[in-house]
Amino acid sequence: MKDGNALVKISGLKKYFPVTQRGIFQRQIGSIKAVDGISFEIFRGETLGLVGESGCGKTTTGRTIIRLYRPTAGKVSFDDIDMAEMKGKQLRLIRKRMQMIFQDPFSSLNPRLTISRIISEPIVVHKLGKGKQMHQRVEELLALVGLNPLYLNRYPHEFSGGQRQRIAVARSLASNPDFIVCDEPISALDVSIQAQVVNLLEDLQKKFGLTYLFIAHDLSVVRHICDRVAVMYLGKIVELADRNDLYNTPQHPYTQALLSAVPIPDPEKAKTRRRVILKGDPPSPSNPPPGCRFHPRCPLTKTHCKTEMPVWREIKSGHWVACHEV
Amino acid sequence: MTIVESLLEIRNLVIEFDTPDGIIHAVNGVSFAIPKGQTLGIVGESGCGKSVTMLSVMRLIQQPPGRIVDGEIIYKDKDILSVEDSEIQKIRGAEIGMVFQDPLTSLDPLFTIGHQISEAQIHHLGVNREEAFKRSIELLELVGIPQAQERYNDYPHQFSGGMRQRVLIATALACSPSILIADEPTTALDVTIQAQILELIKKIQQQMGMSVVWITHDLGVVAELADRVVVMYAGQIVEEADVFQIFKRPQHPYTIALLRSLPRADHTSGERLESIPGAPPDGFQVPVGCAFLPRCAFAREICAIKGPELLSISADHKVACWVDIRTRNER
Repeated sequence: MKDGNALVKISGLKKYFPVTQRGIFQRQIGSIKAVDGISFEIFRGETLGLVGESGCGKTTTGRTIIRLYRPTAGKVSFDDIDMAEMKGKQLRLIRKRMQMIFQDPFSSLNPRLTISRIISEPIVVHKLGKGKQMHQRVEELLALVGLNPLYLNRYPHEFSGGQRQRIAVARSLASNPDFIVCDEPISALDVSIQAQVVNLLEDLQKKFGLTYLFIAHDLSVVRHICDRVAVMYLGKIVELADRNDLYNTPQHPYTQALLSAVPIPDPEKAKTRRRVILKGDPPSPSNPPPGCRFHPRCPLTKTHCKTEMPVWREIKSGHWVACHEV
Repeated sequence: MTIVESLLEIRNLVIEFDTPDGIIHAVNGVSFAIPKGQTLGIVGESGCGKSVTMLSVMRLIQQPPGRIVDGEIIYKDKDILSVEDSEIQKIRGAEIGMVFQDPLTSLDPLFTIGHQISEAQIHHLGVNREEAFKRSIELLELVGIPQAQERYNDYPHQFSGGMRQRVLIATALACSPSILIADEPTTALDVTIQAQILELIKKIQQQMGMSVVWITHDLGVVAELADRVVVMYAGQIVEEADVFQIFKRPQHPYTIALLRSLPRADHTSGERLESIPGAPPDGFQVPVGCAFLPRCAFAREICAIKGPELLSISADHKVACWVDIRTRNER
């Protein structure tokens, strides 16, 4: 894919959180390496999936990209503008173009504000309209996400989980963004509601040419909605490829294990397929293992995996992997 | 079709809860049997009554605010709902074990895991500490805790989520129960850890030959594990069948819609997901007709007038729907 096509470029991104000693001085005694040197690009108009298990750093990655966290090191550029060192007004201007949808629609909406106030907040903050004009825009946004504009003056508790997530989507669209980070937007919803929200996100993408970073642990949904998928393990991206490449010919042993662990709603397939069952739990990101981070659980571990960090390389056009044994 | 003996039978169970906003009708006339030595999957969305149904089997419904309005739960010729408290204590934990969703809150943080596994054995089996210790180590090894001897005296916070769930499974298995009830035990866990737990349960069931009741909202997990499936919606059973029937020839519009709305990890369809319109009811009102009616693609006039009963449509398949999906005619 052409270089000019990338909307977001991330290179060598790191985000460490300090671990401090208890007491008055809170001396730093270590750090949690939530994101530890990752590089990738998000193309204009695509949905890039970011998958991995809890604690692998996928949410931190999303939040650091839109600068909810200041990166420890590395660069994030949005539309060829470097954002890592931006502050104040400059940052606010560019933030208008990027938004976030959170996992839990019960805690991401302020219970004391009406729906109208919640959705108009980005419009107020970014000075995109006032009075009647703003009111109209909010009604338009509600209609866009499939909610009755008459609900304007209700409060979040009057809505179901699926409806609340629609409200969160409407809010994220209020500032006309180009890029939306969707952080597990459907995991908190009931099974029969999930498809509604997935379809809504797809429709909106088509309509407005949105670019999504779709963070999830549900690999079935990711296969459905994403164009390309990146797999994260303990602060590193281990594999990135086109959706079909990744699901049909996964190269990294972690990706293989992860895919084989996904339950498939087909009892015949489920009872016959071969599974790779990983041993143990993922180690703590405050003290990651040396060499390849996956080596203590990897079925293919060789001696050099324990000491040398594998190189992030392109094994065929658009298929990236970090593993010695591929 | 082989007839499997049933171990426990739930008959016409009705459970309500009093809340400040009104009465919630959690379970509205549920009847099914737990087959011996098999895995029964109970599937449904949050609030459909699946957990409440199984909690009542353990007599763990707090009354008030809960109220068991009607029904019987027959286990070994006795009605669990009407026996003395002392009697139920002999069954709970000893003959029927339970594993809950959240492994952190189900273990007592103040006691070592060894103490918690031994407790049930000392209480129910009348063994002494030493015997209980020996057996607990065996159980910890069985559920795959490495260095079981050393970890016996560790506290819950020293274990990861997956390991805690293993400890809970060991606790539930401590008295060799004939029924193990698992209430979404893998929902809080990552997929690779979930795969480990599913393998473990399959292995243990083969070894011990107990019945397993697996409550979940994840149809993938059901396909993986269950022999038989009960699908619940709004406090009622809408379909019950063998696992292959449920996935290959679902007969209730809800089951059909649910299966169609699922994205799949094993192939790319490229099509839009077929979503189910609307949302599940909140349980404050018992609908006159069928509870799924407002979301149903097959609705007829009769559906609004009278709720369908759960009827056998073949030797091994029950469905509660006025419309025969195969012919699209009313039954």
